[in-house]
Amino acid sequence: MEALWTSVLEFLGSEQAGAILRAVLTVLAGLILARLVSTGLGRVLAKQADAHRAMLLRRVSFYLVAGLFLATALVELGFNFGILLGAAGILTVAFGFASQTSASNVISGLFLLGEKAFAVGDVLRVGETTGEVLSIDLLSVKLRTFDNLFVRIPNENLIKSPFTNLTRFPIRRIDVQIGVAYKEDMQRVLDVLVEVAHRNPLCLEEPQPLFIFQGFGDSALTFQFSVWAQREQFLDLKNSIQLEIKDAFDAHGIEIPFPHRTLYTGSVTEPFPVRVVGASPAEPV
Amino acid sequence: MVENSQAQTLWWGSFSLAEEHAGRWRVGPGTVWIYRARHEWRIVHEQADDPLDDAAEILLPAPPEAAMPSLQETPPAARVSRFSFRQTDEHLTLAPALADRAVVMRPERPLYVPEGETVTLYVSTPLWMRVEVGQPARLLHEFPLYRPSDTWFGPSTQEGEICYAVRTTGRLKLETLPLRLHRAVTPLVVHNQAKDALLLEHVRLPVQYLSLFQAATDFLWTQTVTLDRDKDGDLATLHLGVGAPPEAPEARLIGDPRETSTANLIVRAFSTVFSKIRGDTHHGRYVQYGL
Repeated sequence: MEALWTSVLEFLGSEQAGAILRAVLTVLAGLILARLVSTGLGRVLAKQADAHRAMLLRRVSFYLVAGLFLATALVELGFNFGILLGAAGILTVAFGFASQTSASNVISGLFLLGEKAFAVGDVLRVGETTGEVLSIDLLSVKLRTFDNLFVRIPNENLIKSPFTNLTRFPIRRIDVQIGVAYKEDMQRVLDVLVEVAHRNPLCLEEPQPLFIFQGFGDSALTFQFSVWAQREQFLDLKNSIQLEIKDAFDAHGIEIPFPHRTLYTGSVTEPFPVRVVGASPAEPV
Repeated sequence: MVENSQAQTLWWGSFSLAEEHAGRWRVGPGTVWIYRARHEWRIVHEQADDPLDDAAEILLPAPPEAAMPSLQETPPAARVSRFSFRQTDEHLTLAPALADRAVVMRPERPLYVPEGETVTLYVSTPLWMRVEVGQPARLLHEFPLYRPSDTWFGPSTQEGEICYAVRTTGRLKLETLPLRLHRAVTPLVVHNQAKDALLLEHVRLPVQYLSLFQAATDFLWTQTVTLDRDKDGDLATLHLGVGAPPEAPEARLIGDPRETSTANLIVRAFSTVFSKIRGDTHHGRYVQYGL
């Protein structure tokens, strides 16, 4: 018992114990300082940068400061940093190869944040997925599609390929493709369409409705009629304007034709034999 | 009952509505039924197809057939709002109000205002109806008599704001502007002090800063609005007249502005970008012939 006590006291008095104590104190001081620095930075940046950047910087600063103090503590304890760094070097290469995509995602994420191409709450279309951005994380962006599904998109995808931000600008254009029968008077059709656009309160008066004649189609004269709407009312207007166009065409007797095919039997066209089917027995006409 | 002055049926003012009774107001394109029950106020609003419809009629109390829409068979296009109260009282106040957003108007024909020149246009803007109950009057509901069309006003499709588009055109001569009880008239003075001529095609009138005045003829006016353009571009300094406009000198104030503007406010007043990319203008109504 006494021998144990003596050896403990001896140990405590020696150089090593001092070093260990200093190391522990350094680590503790480091953690407290790191916490103070990160919180301080977070508060300062909360007003200037958005939530994600602030969080990222808080974490980075915390680990940096804590890491520095930890390294100092290790030096106190007598570790030879040269050997450690050498080993770390080799490990890093191995890690690097293994985590290529993750690293790429992290870097892409940082660039995406810097570009400010979109923010949380915007609606993105990436490939075939359209959804609202829920969060922009370290490795990926999370979307909620409109049928309430959760989609995770790696940041790499967003940097490499184009995506569309549907809510970046306050107004959007709705393109309605219409075909009318050849017999219709285009000016009259245009007047009817403009009247429909004017009557609909959601359809913006400016920018004005756009009319683009697209061509003499197989069965109809095709054109595009575009109207502008506020992005929040895009769907409402898209539905209402198409229904209203249909109603207006019906009211004005403007025909939207079915696909037409003309049958032609060659250079000499004989009448086609037609049989009338009715109440009486059929007779060739 | 109903105030009558110079053969105009004034739709605003204080009214008294007994329990289980309804009133019907026909004001221009809007028809409003207000029904009072012991614990509920109900407002039904229907708008006609034509925004310039000029009906003016008050039925108070409305006989049962006229009051039907507020009680049971609401027309499908009508909007119903119901407000529940511990105990309703008979005091009902209706007041006119100007639009809650800026309004974009067009002169009859696009016109140039040369350097150093001034033009005065008379614009009529649609009115909102404010329904207030009790004493002191408390705002229950506010809605436009005819919902105006939205429009975008700004230098591009990327920046700007949503405003209302006024169907009636701004007139150079006051006599040519029909006066209606469901619209308020604003004399708009545009003063071009810049070095180039100003093409007036669209002018944004910030009606949120304007007050409402009732003239001796009972028609509604706002104060004179002056837009001073000192540099070329879309911006102008806004000056609001104080008190009734000179065209209606004995008008009395009946409505305060929704927002107060600061003195010498610089506003974007003229829209020129869209006109640059537009192809053609034909008799006031036009579409863009595109690429």
